[in-house]
Amino acid sequence: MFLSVDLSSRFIHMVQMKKTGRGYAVTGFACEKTPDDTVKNGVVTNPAGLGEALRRMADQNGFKARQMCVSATSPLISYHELTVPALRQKDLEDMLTEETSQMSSTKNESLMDYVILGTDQKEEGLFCRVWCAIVPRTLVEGYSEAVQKGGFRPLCMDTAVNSACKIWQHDETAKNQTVIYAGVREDELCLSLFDAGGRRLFRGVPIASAAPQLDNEFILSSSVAAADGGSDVQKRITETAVTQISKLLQFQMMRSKDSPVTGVCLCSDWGASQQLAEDIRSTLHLQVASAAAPSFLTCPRDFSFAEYLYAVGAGIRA
Amino acid sequence: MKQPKIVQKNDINLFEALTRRERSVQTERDSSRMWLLTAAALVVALVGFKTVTMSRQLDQLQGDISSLQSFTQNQQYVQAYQQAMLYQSSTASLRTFNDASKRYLEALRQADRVTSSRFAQVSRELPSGVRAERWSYEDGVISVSCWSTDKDAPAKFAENLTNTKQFQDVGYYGFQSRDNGYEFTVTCGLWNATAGGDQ
Repeated sequence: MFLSVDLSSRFIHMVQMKKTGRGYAVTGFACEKTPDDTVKNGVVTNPAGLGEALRRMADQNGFKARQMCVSATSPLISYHELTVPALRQKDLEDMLTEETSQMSSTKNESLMDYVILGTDQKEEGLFCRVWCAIVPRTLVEGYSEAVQKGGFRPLCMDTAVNSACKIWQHDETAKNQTVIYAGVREDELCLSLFDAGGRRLFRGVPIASAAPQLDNEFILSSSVAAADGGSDVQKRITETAVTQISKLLQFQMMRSKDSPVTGVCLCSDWGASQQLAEDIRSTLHLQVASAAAPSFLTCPRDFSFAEYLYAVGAGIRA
Repeated sequence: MKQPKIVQKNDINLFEALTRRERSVQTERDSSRMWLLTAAALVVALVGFKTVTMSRQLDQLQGDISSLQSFTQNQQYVQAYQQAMLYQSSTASLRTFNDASKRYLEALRQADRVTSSRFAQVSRELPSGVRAERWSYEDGVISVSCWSTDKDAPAKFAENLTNTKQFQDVGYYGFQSRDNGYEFTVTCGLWNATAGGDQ
């Protein structure tokens, strides 16, 4: 049994899970507002405060598990898809560490982990397509410290995007479609594009930044621009989400006309997500539905899977 | 060509990446520490080796000093030393005497004197019937006092000596009668007599 939490600057989503014969089971869940000034832009600014909140939340809900998985989103996390020769795991990790260190401005102060998307047989030999997440070291240290200060043992930390991906990989209904997983929160978006062929595709969606995106860079999370002069939060987030989803649609159209995006899975804790769904339907003519719990997951009836998708995804280990 | 086995990896674990990095840093630190310890151990070993070597040298030196002290304090050796010093002193005196003798001989060698061969040469030129009675030498001049019955003998003797061309000048004086004959003195001036006479 372990705890799996999705930490954002607005909410802490915590689920207690255990591994079962056919997958996982949610044995408890809770959601609380993130204490002020503990997480900002996906960075833990007060590990002790966050740790205290995590411990209090677990205690109040009777969660006994002491191992903790974390899912986090931050504009500081960058993603790169690379094609590299197939090597032994250790050699592959060394190569990727070297490759990604060249991409990071803070060479020795960043961490990297990766997933293998697939393999390509070429004339030169077998190649791997890998998807790397490059994260500032201090960001990971912040989460690790917060978990430990809360009295938990850090088990694993995944990016929200990859957490969504692991859910999608087990979601039989969505797997045969090209879909967008849209994590819409009050202050950030976390968008993932998965195609029907079993591949996952990502596209950079700079929202707050005016800087042009790099062609080979796949960023999946971004901050929503700060409110200016009391503009309507719901309207601002809806506009931003629609704009960025629209960009992903265009990207997919250019990449593969035969498999356009057919639907959007909303993974949102945002109260106005119904309005967002309506806007996406009317503007982009796409089916919109809340992400459904995959079949391998056993969960209580009142469990809102779409809201806890990232928390659940962080706890799923392949 | 054998392809490496591709491991399916779907999880990202940044905590593990952090641990890996810390372990790597720790390994580097351990490695550095190991090098430092090795260097320190080498220094300690070197210092130890040097200390042992110096200690041995000191022991040896102290042994030498003791040996020398017992040698210098041995009465037999002290007496021998004193005897040697005496011999050395005597040798010095003899050397001084020898040097003085050398200088004396050199002075003699340089002294103004005439050799026996010169007297023999003068004797050979005596005419018959002339008897040399006294010889003397002073200031580079050989004086021969003679007696003869022949009144021409002085001139003859002087002529003989002049003809030898061995003398700077030849003369005679004091011709007077004695014992039914004549007494006279012939003088022969040596060449370069001031330079020390015959060498």
